[in-house]
Amino acid sequence: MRRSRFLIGLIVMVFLLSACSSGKSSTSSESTVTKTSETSSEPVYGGTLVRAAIYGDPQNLDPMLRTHGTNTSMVTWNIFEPLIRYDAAKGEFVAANAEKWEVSSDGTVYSFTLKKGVKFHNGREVKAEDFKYTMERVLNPKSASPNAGSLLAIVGSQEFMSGAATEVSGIKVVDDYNLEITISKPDNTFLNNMSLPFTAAVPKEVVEEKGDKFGQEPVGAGPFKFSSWIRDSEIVLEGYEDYHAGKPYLEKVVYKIMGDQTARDNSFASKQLDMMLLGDAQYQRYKSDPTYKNSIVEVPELFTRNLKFNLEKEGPWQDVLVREAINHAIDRETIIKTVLQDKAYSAEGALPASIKGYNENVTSYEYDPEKAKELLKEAGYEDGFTLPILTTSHPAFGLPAVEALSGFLGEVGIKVETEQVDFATLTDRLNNGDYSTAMSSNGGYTHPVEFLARYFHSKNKGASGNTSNYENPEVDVVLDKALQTTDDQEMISLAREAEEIVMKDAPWWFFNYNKAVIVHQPWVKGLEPVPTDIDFQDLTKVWIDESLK
Amino acid sequence: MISYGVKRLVEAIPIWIAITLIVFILMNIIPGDPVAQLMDARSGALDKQVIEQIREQWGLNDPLYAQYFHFLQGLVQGDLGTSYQTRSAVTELLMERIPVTFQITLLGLFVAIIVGITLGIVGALYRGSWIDSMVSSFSIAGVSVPSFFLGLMLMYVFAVQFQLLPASGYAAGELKYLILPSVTLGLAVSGVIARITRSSMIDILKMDYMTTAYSKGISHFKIIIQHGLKNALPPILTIIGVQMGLLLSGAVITETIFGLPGIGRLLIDGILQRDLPTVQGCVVFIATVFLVVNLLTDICCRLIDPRIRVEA
Repeated sequence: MRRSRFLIGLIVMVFLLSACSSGKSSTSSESTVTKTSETSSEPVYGGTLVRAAIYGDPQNLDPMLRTHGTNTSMVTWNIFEPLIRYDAAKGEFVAANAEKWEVSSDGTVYSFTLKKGVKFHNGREVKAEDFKYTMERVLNPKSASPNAGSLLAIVGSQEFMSGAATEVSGIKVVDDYNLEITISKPDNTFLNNMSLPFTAAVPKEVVEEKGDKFGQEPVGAGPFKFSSWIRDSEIVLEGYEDYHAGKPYLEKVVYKIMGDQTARDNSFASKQLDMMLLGDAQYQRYKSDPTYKNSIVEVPELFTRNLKFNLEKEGPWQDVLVREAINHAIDRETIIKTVLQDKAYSAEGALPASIKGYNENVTSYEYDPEKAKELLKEAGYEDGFTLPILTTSHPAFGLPAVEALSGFLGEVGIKVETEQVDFATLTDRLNNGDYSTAMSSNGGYTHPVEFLARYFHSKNKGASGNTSNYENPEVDVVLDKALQTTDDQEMISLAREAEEIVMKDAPWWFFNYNKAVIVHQPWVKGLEPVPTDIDFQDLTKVWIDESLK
Repeated sequence: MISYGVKRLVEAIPIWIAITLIVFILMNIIPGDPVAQLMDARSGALDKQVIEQIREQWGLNDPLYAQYFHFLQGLVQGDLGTSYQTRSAVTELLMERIPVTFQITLLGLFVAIIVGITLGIVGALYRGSWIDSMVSSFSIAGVSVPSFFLGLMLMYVFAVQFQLLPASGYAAGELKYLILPSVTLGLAVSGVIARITRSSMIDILKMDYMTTAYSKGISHFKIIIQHGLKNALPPILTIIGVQMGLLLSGAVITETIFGLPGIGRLLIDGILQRDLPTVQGCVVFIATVFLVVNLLTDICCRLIDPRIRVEA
């Protein structure tokens, strides 16, 4: 009896505590990279990092077979070593398997010089031929690789894919340590592909020996070796002694695959997790927790959450005045503070705040309901209209936000009609143009032109990324120029020019940039605010201070 | 008995086919392209040429009847196809997951039987007393409390507060990882078993042969177990068989909460990613389990109570 009373009391307490812990407001609205995780002493070798993988099982660790998504890349980037890596803090590419690289003056030939002595986990040295094999493996139609589209810019890739050629002529092995890649036309976003896991070298002999099993027991040349994998439960990697840039501090990294936030909270509270990504509901609680408030790393991630208008579907949103009105009608700051618990940054422009060339002075839309009413009147919708919104249940850019914004739109006479679907359905309907307006999140690109071209260039209309079906020849011309220039400054100024036009056309309601937040135990050191995706931590810099355990 | 079992299994073939056909139709009706799910959902950038190539490679451009026939062909040969997401054979994925689901389902069943039958007998013996009321309250709570809530509460108490057991995860079947999920599953089912046991035992306790047994001076415990429970078993066994379904469906939620790599999670992931071969594989497996459990329940009832005449 006494025990049951205790349990009942405990249940009531949990309810009360959870009720009390939500809804605290915060004053932090900084739009810069924040880091409250301090490294105070010298790094030491050893220890295991147990981290939560919240986006589910990576399904297959063969980087060829998975696109560059968080759940896969957060693991594969540690197993495989690409030619170059992207340093998100500096906003530039740095040497990895290649010690140097050059781009020809016309922007079509990329020459890589490989570092000598880089070894696969099976002990064999990585050679230029391994990169050629890897990329041809991606382009081979039998592989059914979803990444093949990213390499179609290489000369000879189409012939190879169609079976008209036995090799890709644009990938040339000059010698063991020199590789030359020729693309059909200048494209300064191409280099980024050379930093992603799917172009990182794989050892041919292991791939052929393991066949379909390669993705379950991968071998690369990255800082960590694959150790074990219990599907949907955990993946274990071990520090690679012979990693070319030096042995990592961590002896082991364990990825606990945990989709449930409450289960993660419980595991973190019981010290079974060393670090985890925070959701909106947990953010303020950890931020004000005396134990963890100094063990939080946060960053504006390269994602822009938005309400996109389908510009190929008949409706009031075809009129730019209506789209402007909607942008003025919604108080996104208030929604961010209340619904998102301040775990986001207000979106000023299309490009996220951490991206190279971010323009804080771009034309943006202030909350001004009176102006919204005027614009609606000018557009002939003084009496308002019904706005169908397709959404998911996502806490940060789904139903809760839609419910909040519908109140603001109601004030200017626009009635919102919500349709909630799952992510697979949302993707399908966006790709097929089967929607009027939809809430989504776009980004993950480190290159401003790649970001803008993907979502606003008419060549990418529909399933290729521009699901708003936005078309402006002026934007196309500027973006094409921006893609082909070899001058970094010119590229940035052209990207800003394109963004300015896009902002004035308002094909989206620009909502927020994700504030990605990691909370970690005090003994975890060396975590960084990585804007590309906070889950893409450089684990070679992370170490465990056992004295704090 | 053997011929009866074989006959029942043969009769189940149309049910199997109907189930797979329904799942196949449903998965093709709902929006969501499996190839699009391969792409990074957040950047949502697809290359039309590559998509077309993958669809061709996987036979997704074939007419639907041809795709279904191809699946049936594979099924006959014991080949459930290849998962779109993992690129592994579905049979291989199932073999990896079956032990996990069986472990927590059987442990959950064990918990449910021990708790349910014990409480049911106690409720029947103390019929109308406060003890009986407690048993009835427990039964209602067992049925009513959602397993995700119960699971999280158990996790909070035993993993966070007392730190006796791991909050989640699975380490190759170590028992400590299975205790909380099994108790979560078992308690949900034990309420129903307790109710049926109680009512069945109440009927048996009124029987003349029970009075006769008492008059012979046999010990109270022996009478309850040997004469009472044995005769009360058929309806209890039937409900346990039916509850296997609840255990399997409960395993889906429990596996998700406790991070267990079982069939339930595989099925949920498969549905969300429109991975038809995986979903079909899971459904065939679950349907088979249901069928075999029902068959075993009927056979057990027949063995325990010879009066039951199953028409062969």
